[in-house]
Amino acid sequence: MKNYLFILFISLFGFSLCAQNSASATVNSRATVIDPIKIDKTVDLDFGNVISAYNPGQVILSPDGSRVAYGVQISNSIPGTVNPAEAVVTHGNNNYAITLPEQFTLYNQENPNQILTIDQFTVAPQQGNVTDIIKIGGTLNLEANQTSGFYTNSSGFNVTVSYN
Amino acid sequence: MKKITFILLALISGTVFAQNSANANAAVNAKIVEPITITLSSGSLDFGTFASPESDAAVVLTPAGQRTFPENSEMLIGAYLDVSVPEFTVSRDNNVTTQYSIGLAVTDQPDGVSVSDLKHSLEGSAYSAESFTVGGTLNVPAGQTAGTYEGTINVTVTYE
Repeated sequence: MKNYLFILFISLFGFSLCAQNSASATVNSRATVIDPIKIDKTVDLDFGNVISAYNPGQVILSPDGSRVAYGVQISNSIPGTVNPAEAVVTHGNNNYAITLPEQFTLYNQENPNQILTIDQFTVAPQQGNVTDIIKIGGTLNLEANQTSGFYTNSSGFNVTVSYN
Repeated sequence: MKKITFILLALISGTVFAQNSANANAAVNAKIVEPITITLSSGSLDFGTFASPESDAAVVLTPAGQRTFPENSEMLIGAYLDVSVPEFTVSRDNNVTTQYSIGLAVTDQPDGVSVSDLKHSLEGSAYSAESFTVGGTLNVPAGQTAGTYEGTINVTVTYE
């Protein structure tokens, strides 16, 4: 009888060794969050005053604010308000991409059937540490004998910035 | 009647004979198994770098090391694709048991964000591999402040 009890004891003891045997390891978890990129417009794009001509023409407004006219004239004495568009990009010192529209349409305020198109947008960033100021120019295309008036589009054009 | 009494006495005597003692020998055996061990062989549970979300977001990192963000969350940054999952090596006594169980627990939550739904790479298969990896989900509140967030997880293996 004692022999049986001893065997029973050993069996239980052996099983206990297996069932309770375990081991653990610890590891770090980690994540880095950065601020989302932001863009805030500060200045609208304005080509100023342009004198239409008998032929089609173009006015190229550079991001630095200079204008060059082809086929049409611009008045240096009465330039009007000339501004490249300006926006502040908050990027937290991370690289980002700028996406500009292919084309944008302006409508004559008095006669919306008359339009002007802007294309070939260009951009120049003034780089800062965590924010940049980007200035945007473009090419204004005039038809021959373009109807005079104030051309605008209150919906504005989209400039998209995204981390890359 | 006297005859019947004698037969009963005979039966009682028979019982005495049946209870007489006997000896038998039994072998005593015991086998001690090697303890199971687990070591971190590479990596950590690193969800990488991403932009703070506009709404609450769950960043899922599978045990295979694939990270996914909520659709249209714009959290992904192309320059920061690196992530890491920890790989653990298990050493055990193969002669006694072929399988083990795995326990996963978050022991220290990062401040401001939380880790949940820990998963290991052996789910759905036999728990007898020599190594496995661990993934999980990082829950990031909307507008979470930029910074690096760290915590710890604990992984336990047990003989079955």
